[in-house]
Amino acid sequence: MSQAVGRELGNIVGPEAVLSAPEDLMLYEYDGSVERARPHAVVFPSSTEQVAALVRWAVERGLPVVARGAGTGLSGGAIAVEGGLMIGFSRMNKILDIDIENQRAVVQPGVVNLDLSSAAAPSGYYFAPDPSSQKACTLGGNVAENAGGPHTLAYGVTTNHVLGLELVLPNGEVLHTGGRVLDVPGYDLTGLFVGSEGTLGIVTEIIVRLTRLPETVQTLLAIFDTVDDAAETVAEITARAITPAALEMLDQMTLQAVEAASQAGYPLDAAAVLLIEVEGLREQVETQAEQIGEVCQRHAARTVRTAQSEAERQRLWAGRKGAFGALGRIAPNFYVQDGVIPRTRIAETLRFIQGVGDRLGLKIANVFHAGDGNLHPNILYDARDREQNRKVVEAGAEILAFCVSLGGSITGEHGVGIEKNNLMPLLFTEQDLTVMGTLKSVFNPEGRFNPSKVFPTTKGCGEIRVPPQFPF
Amino acid sequence: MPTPSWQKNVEEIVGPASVNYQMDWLRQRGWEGAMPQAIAFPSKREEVGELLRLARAARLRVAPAGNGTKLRMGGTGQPVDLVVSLARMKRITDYPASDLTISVEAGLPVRELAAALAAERQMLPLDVPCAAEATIGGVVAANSTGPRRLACGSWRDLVLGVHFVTAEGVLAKGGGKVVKNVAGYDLPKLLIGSMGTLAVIVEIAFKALPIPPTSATFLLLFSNAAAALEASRRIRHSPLAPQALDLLDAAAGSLAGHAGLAAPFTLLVAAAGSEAVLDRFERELHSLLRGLGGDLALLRSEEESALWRTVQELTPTFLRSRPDGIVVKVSLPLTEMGGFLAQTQTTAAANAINSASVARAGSGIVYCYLSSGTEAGDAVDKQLVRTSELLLEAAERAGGRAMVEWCPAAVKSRMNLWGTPRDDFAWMRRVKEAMDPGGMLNPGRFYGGI
Repeated sequence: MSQAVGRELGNIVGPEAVLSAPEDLMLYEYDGSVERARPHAVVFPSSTEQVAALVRWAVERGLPVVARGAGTGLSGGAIAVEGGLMIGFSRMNKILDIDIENQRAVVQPGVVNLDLSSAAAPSGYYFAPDPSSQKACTLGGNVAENAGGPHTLAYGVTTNHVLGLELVLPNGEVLHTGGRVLDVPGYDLTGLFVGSEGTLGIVTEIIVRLTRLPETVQTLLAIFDTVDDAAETVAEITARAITPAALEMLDQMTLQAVEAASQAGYPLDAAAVLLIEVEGLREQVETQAEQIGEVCQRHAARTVRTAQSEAERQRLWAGRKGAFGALGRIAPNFYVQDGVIPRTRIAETLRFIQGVGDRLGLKIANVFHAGDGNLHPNILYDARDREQNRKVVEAGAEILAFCVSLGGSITGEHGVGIEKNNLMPLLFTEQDLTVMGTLKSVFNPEGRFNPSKVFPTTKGCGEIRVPPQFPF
Repeated sequence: MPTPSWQKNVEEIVGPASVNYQMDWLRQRGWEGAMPQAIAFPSKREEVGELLRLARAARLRVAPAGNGTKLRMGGTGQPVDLVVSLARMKRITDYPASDLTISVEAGLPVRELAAALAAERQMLPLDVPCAAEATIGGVVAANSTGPRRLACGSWRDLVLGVHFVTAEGVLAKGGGKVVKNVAGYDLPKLLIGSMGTLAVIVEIAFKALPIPPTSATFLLLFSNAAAALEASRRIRHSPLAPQALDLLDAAAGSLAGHAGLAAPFTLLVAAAGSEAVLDRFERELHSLLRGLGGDLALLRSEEESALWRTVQELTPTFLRSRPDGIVVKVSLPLTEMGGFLAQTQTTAAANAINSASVARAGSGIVYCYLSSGTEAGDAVDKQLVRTSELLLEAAERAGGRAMVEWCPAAVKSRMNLWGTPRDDFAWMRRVKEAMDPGGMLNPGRFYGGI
């Protein structure tokens, strides 16, 4: 990048908020996915006006623009595939308003998910979507990806909690959608923008709903000797409509990694465990916990343990939310899938996944949102081995195709990005994609924002690039 | 009757028995303005596609419909040539009950949907107006909701996927059938509440909810709005989480025709769960009400459902008795409801207009029913229009939004139905132009005359 360009960007955001040295840019060429690509420059605006000015600057130079929160995304949403200007939101990290009486908060996109809940908690409220990365991920990224989390089983995903947005559009215009109140007249543009993965607009302000903290929370750990028993338990809890707040499954390989990393209190010899949380009114929680205990026993649970203290509960959740990181102890790399299936079909799907792993000689660890049927098979591998890379891609595509064949989806909460865009035709017809393309052309006709994402490109189906090796 | 060639084509598509040239079907349903040439009743989605392709080629304007309960809703609209009613498309296409999801064709009447779900002890918040006739497609297209949206959410929280026919007559879909899915743009969100102006919804997948084991409704009777709203506030901040929390003034109570709603303000608290949960509600409500002076009555079983039926049907009840009346739907910050309710009463009184209000007190949504105290006439219409417009302004001043949901055809063109447009309006127009370039679908009926 020329010094003149650096000066121009510095004039917009201040010289201290521009990164253009190769060693600085290297830190912004990856996110939580397996892809890498280097932006031409990274800038950190501190206001909506600066974002709009940066977009206009990029328009004049014909450069792509990619927004980035904390870079925890798992589908490559924040990767500057075609280079260009990356807008980082770490300076737009203010909670602008917490309005408890109206159950709303207004935040900048760089606010960390958990920080909002922590800020509202003293008043008895919180922000319900809780991605596993919530200690790091930002609300702007949550909006872009329509992020989920364990507790979305009862409370819904990000889109169910976002009521209004301020965005900068690819033409540099600032747009306000929705508002603080429900049912605003006109089309639900907020609903269209949430989950559009930065391809329609860049969010600069978010109005969210705050949810009352439950009176009582009970956390149960059900331990099973077979994966099938655990899966059937999930199916029956769903069929009996008991609706826990969270219903997570961890298989043996995951349990062993988690325990090695954090001593969360999970058994090492179980085939699978269910981590179940029931919340709400005391009377209701007691009944639900009893019913769930019964269902677990009927499906041969070895034991059902109730967390006896908040500390024990926090340890179990820390283990669950840290599971992806813990898998690093087993293999240098993992490729996490995000397929969704009907909740009644978990047992057969896990058997299918096991079969794929056995056939291709890959270890696959499962830790997922069982209550939603949202699988997270983690395919463990070594990225330096090109043959393994190929097999990982093959396994991932096979698993997602199986999910779709059961009436499911290729992604429940991680987004399509550049990871699954070429798998979109598994789920959507050319006609479906044409309608989505029509909407993209309304807001982002030149494909300036987050190019090459979501929609299939001309690449061969299922291809992911081998991460480049670095000389250190 | 001599039939121009496109009508013959319509007959070829859906069969001659499924085309209606007698406009009584529309007249009985309150259709206003110029009559279309034909009503087609397709029996499957491919026929809807063919009809729209025909309409496009013949440059016809089309109004999608279900059972026609909302034909008077929204703007005047431009004259249409063809009404496409999905009333014959009423199959349940997939109901894996143990997965708590259901997919149905758009023409399924909501009462049939409710019955199918109830057979599995499941439900959707189908406590919508005109529940005896409305179709689920129409309910979703109009984003029509009722009291239980407080606990169950609105359609944007419950719709998993939508199949639709585009203005080009192409079958397409968005979303899916599983409870979690972020693949592709969220087209269902865009279609919910779009009043058939972007595409014709032909099938919808929902997340179903369990029917709670038992329920009860507490009537809290107050002499003034401030005490009622304070009670509502305390309940919202309590752990109780009621299914519904509706506040009716005496005029709304009288409109509902229910003897239990005669107090100046009645707060309805719907509780659901086990008997232990209901006991807890009763105990907590007694302590929450301390110092507010409200009386408390309890309704259960058939008495309870009958009460809620009258509340959910307030809009059609009002429009039947006052066809010249106006219904204003207001969305407010919760803290502004009290001020707004007071202003409604004073504004109406100052203009010699009768007003009744029901507030979804946990959601900030208020329905105002305005009618003249005297014989209809031009001067009366002026006062009605004036009052509505003042309420729209008051809502916006309070940080809310408002729209005229229903009003007589005679005054529609003379009044602002949708309040002050924001910077998103231009983009909504562009979305409409991109999805329906010829302006074929329901032209002029939607927000801002889209």
